[in-house]
Amino acid sequence: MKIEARGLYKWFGLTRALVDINLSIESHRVVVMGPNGSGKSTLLSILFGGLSPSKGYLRVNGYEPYRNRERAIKDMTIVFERPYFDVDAKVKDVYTVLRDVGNSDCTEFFWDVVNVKSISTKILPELSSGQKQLVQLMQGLCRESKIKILDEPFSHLDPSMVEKIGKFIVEDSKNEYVITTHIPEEAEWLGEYFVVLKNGSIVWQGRLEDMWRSELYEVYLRGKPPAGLKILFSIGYVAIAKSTEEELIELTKKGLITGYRRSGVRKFYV
Amino acid sequence: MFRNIKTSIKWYLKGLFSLKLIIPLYFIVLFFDVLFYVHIASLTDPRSRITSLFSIIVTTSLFLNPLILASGIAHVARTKDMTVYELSMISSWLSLALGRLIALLLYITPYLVIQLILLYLSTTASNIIGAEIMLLTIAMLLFYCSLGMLLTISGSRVIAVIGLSMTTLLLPISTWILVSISQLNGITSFDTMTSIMLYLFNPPMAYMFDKVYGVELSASWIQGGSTTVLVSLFLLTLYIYIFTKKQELKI
Repeated sequence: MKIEARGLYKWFGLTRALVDINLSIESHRVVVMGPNGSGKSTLLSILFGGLSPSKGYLRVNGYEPYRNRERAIKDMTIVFERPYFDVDAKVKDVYTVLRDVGNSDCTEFFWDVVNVKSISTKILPELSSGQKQLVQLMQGLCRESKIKILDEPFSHLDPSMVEKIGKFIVEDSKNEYVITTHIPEEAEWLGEYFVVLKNGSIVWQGRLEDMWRSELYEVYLRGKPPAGLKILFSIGYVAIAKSTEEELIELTKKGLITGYRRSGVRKFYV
Repeated sequence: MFRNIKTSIKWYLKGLFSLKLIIPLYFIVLFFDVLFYVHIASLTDPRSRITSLFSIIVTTSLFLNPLILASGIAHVARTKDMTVYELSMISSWLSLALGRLIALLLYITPYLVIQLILLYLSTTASNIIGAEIMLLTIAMLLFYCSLGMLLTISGSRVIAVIGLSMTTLLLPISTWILVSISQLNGITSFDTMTSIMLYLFNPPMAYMFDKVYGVELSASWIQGGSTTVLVSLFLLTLYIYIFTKKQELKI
């Protein structure tokens, strides 16, 4: 999948949702991150052709989706974070449609392995938020399309479901993904290329390997931070520290920290 | 494309023919229709039959049409979130727009058939009113369906249902009020523009005024009916254009 954007802006009245977005991505799985209101959903909406930019352009595989909406919606499926259904259709009605227009292996995976069939006779508005998200994911992942756009796809799921569906995504080499999430570990699990937004602008983009060159580590604290450790900032029990692997192994052995890992996208949330 | 349209129609028919809704609605329609037909059949004077036929037109315009159309539009109107979900599943903007329209038309078809049968039975006894009133009834429902479809683009079921209920009630009433007040003031003829407007808002009623109640409309029923159909087709084209090209959807 190739995503290219030049001087992309989006305003909603006087509110600037996206500011001068420039992208040149060629990747199988792209993760868009950022705090609430950073412009992730707006960027995704432009990506599938639901919104047009106020200025600039965005191309997916060489075309502008908002100018060629029929092609874009054939190429892409969408799962959004707020699962809200207002139709009295049953879960099995969604399954019936997907048997016509979807990938049969994927549909059966959701139906049998994820066990969506256990809620087959329930009507959509009566589902719990997690069940609604499963039905959305079944549609988004199983309808035949080249690109799957998933906006916080696991926000209402329990860890066992996240494991099953996340594994399905990382093992899928046929389709391409654009995913948003707030959870750094989830992003690093699913993503190859990362775009981090803040207040509508890109604050960082690249691959994890680019990030690892900075010698920053996420250190899991045990009480007070160890003396001498150069901590840049901390988020709860996780501190971002400039250090070396040797120093951190030593601190772990002494029991002054509970563990560490190379710093990923978490630092952009500060 | 045809496969997508078929899938889309099938999807929009899910839950559409809910018996909980259909049975009371059609009970009301049939109750009024049978009542009118029994009353008309019992009359021997052709003039009285025409008066009763006018009652059917008034009841249909001001009560049954809003009831059926508003319940139909409630089925096909969707929030913007739901539209994104359906777009993603059906994979075509055009098929989704057409699927909603066709589902609405399918929903009102049994009602239309009942109304046409009633009108046929009621008009055969009269040599003044002919089958043209049936064509004008079809044109009227098409016009209000097209307005309803445009209202669904708002992305709010409440706006679509209330908007269409108000429109299907107030526009036909305006024809009645305009002609009645004009007659009270001694005005019995209307220019082409006003005549066309009367036909557009309530074709069967405008026809009855012209044919039976001595109101001179400068446009014939053919001109009035054709205009209604043309305006409806324009509104439907506009609906499809806005839905597929201009509608803004944010996830």
